Amino acid sequence: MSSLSMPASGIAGHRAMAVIEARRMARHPVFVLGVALGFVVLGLYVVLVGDETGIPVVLTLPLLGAFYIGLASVIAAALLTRSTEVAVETIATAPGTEARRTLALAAAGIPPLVAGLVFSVALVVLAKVIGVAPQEWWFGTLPDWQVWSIVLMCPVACFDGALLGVLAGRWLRFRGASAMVVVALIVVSLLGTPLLETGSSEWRLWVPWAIFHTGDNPDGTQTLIAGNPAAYLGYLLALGALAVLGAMWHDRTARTPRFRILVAAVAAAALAFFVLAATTGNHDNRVSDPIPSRVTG
Amino acid sequence: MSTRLWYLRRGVAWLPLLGGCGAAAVIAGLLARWPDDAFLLAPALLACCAAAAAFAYDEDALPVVAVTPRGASWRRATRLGVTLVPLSAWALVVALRPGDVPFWRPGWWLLGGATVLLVAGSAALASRRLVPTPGALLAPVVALAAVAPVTLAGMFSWGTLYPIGDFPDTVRTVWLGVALSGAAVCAVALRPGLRP
Repeated sequence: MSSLSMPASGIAGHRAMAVIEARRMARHPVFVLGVALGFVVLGLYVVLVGDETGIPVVLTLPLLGAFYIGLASVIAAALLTRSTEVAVETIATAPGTEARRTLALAAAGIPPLVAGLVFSVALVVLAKVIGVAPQEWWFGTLPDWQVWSIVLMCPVACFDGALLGVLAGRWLRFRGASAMVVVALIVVSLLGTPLLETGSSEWRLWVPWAIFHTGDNPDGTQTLIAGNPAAYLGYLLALGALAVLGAMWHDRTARTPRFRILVAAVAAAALAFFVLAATTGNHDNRVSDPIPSRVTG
Repeated sequence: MSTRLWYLRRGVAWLPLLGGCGAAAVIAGLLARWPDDAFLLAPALLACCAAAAAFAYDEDALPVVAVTPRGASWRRATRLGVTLVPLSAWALVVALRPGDVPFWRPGWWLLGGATVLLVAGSAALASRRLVPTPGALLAPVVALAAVAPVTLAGMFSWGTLYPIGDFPDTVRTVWLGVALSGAAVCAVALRPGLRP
């Protein structure tokens, strides 16, 4: 009955729809499982892998949150988007357009964003409490903005994961589409790695998840890969916005001249952020001082 | 036999199942091109085969067909045979070793067989509980779960569940455990009757 009393249009109506979608996401079993796994693995890592110098390779850990929470969000958001298809004829008679419902579905990205933020805050707090090796790429050896940019890639990737799920749910109607999207996302992210050891490593940043830290090398050093993480963060946000716009594009009535200009502007912004990420920041891969306790070969 | 084949030809959701196998073929091509990335591409290939197996029990009209005179257990046992398709795709790729990746074949056959068996058993169990299309949820979750151990291998000193080259006994034990779990789930799922 609450849906009948909801304002049919305007900001209040949209907010109500967005809150419903965010709640559905927060309660989705796949999303809850992904969040739980992300935090369990982080906890296990802190308990089992830490040595006398503190938590090793902290800047690689945002990957855990992005993988478990972000990819689970892709699946959950795609399933949420597809779930209304069974009643599409009924929904079509309700006030509002498909594009408006899609925009409300984008709010399903809020719980993953919050979960990713909590993950990142937990990571920073744990590193502060337990400590890290003085040679580690972290606050003190890197500018603060670079560390924050890399740490915040986790919540942004979680947010983008949900938006990609909405995009996939709107356009891909075959069964198992979300499974294929998850595998494709992993494989595409991997395609940047051949460039890591080359002089053009900054061009790997076109992928949706680029690594900036290699972990420990056999000689106890760590490599920070070239590129501007802050601009890359902007690139990821622009990709997320493109995903929402791409999902709204599915509704033919939404493709107004103004909407097309918006899509072009966001695509241009994504391209600009990518060029900035690849051409500014650290121009070459940087190698840290060796950490004696991590020398393995 | 012909009745079973007739049923499988018409009753199985072949499009997503073969789509998963097709995606596995694409990844096998990528593996041939970039064999150094086998640590991630091989699990991704397994993810595709396992996701394909998740669709073996998709049946939109399940509430109707589950109560036909032939019986639900006949249907579930027949559909288990469909898992031979993704299993064959996996076995073929491991046998061919694209990019000359040094897979220890018996170990990797075990690994794929165990995963596909567990996924098929889980889908059969869901079907037994009258879930008409378990593949829609199971396939993406399985795809994610198949790749997840790669992230752990890079972080922990436990070693990898997808060893390229030598196949340690501990890893074999883990996959044997998965295979036994899969067999147990299949045995439960294939028991006669329905449990809504």
